[in-house]
Amino acid sequence: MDLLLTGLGAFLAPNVLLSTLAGVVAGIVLGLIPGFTITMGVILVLPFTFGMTPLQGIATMMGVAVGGASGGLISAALMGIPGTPSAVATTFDAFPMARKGEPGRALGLGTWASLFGGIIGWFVLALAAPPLAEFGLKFGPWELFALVAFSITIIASLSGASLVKGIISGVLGMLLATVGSDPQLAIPRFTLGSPDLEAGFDFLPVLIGLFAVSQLMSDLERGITRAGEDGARAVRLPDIRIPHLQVLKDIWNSKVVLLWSSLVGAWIGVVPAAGGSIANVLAYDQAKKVSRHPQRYGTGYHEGVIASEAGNNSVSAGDLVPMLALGIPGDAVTAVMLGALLIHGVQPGPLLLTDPRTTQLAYGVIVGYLFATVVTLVVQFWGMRLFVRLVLVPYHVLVPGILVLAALGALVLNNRVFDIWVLFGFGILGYLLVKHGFELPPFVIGFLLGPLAEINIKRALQTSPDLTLFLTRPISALLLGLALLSVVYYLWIGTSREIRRVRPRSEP
Amino acid sequence: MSDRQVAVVLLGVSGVFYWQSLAIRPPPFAAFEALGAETFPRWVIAVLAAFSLILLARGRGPLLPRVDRAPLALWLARFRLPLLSLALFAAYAVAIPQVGWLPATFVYLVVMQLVLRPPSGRQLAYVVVGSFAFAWALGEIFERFLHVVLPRAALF
Repeated sequence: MDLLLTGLGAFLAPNVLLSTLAGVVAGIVLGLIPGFTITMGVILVLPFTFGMTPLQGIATMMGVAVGGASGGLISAALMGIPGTPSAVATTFDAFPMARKGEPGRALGLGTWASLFGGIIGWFVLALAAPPLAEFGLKFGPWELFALVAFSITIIASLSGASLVKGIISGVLGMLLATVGSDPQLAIPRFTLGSPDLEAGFDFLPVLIGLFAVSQLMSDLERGITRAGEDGARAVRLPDIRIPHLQVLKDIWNSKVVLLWSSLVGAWIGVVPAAGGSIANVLAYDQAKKVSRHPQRYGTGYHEGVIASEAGNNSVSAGDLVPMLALGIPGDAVTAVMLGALLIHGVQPGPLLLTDPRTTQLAYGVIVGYLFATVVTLVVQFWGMRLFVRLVLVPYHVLVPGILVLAALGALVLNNRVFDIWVLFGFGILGYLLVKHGFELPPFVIGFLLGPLAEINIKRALQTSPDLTLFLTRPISALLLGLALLSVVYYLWIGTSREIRRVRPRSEP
Repeated sequence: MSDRQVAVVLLGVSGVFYWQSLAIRPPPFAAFEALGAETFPRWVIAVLAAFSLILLARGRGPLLPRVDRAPLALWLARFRLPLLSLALFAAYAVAIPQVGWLPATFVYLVVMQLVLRPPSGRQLAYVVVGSFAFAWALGEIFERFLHVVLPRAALF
């Protein structure tokens, strides 16, 4: 409790409060525009945080993440197009509800459910992160290496249809992270004699290229410039009036669905790499399974909106748990936040929550999440009429602006044009990966955690050359065992499916 | 490309990285290190190659690329905008150190909007004025408030 109060004291600084508010507004705006993701929003905001204190910078990005998770609701309800991937399940019921003449009720349900889901997620964060950090202090280099291996396999198995492609993506990220200098003795590796490459690829241009540039190229390929604008023009923006009392009554009558969806979302967030899009759909699916009226889901049923929005907001809190407690990102957004901490000279890991020098920052982030959740509700309701109109901003205006912001973000990091070329190269790589069914989150996690894996395996071997310690130390053995089990399980499932697919043809 | 073709490309990437790893020369004082600078990358390359082989074995689609002229026009039509956008972005990156950030950004914004949706009449004026205003405002935010010096022109 004392630590939370310390965090509150740090968070209540005017510059931090204003930055969070600005982040929330930016997040809602970016979240409501179809084709942009919360990750892209957080990445684009990152360069603006370079001149800020670490807490201010993280609070801004958190505001974008929380605001973006709610902002996706607006286009999901009014256009039937999710503003962000984490609003996919929201369209199932919010759009039919709006079409039945209740757009205000749909927006009100989603916004209030986001608040309550975020608050429940916050309790999970505040209660789970500190003990997990204490547990993380027991980790030696063997356990940290095993944790990286476990994170990559879990990410690979959860993030897409093909485990093999997920692991390839993660390993490719690890391989590209080795370009530059050896982390201990600074011996050049894969630099091709270029002095620019001796520092390796910086995390920010890699991230911007992978997520922002590749996403925009995919949208342009799909012709979204025309479809998006035609779709937007086809929408007659309704007069939005939100019946708050009726909405709160609906939420009270569905309190069990709200609680269950929020806990599902928070739990998904705690698992590394499972993000808002999974939480949104899984929370909706779980709520439908436990509902007394599952047949009403998909017809504009209020429980569907509550479940999806509560789940996709509480996941943001869950994502912060492994990030703050262990220094392992919960999803791509927290991977960016980890990168931001490193840029500000703060070392993530279990000590972030336990070392007196950094507890103010860590608990300030925890308190800040709650503040961002509440502010999102206020800003979204207050600015709803304006935000609704932003859905009509033409895509052909947004795309060049976003690319300029992306280039600027890469440039200001080290003031080198070389970083823009890194962004360009990884943008093409990200586009090609996505086109061929490779997921990007495993790549990012592999790129971010690869150096950590290398440093820790070297430390482990320097401490003792006995490799069996990876298997005899209980936590390390458990994590490596789970990693191996998930790989074997998913490979076996894939092989069984392949055999079933082929067998009917070979039978006479 | 099919999964099997992608697997072959990845095996090629693994091969190139392995070949480059042979050029990593640790200095004499690094002899005490348990793992040399080249060891971890080689383990990662081995894992990448192993899973690429699994993808090659389990993947679907042809192994050899088919050269077919007819769909080329369709391919170009489909990828016209992404390819143009990437080419313009590359030109923008080349231009920044030569002409300075503000002129390069202004021209890039105008050209990109012309390519994505050619304006007519008064819309062109809006594009030009809006692009200049956006570029200028962004430059001011970063230089005056965030104290980040943006590239100046090398040519003049």
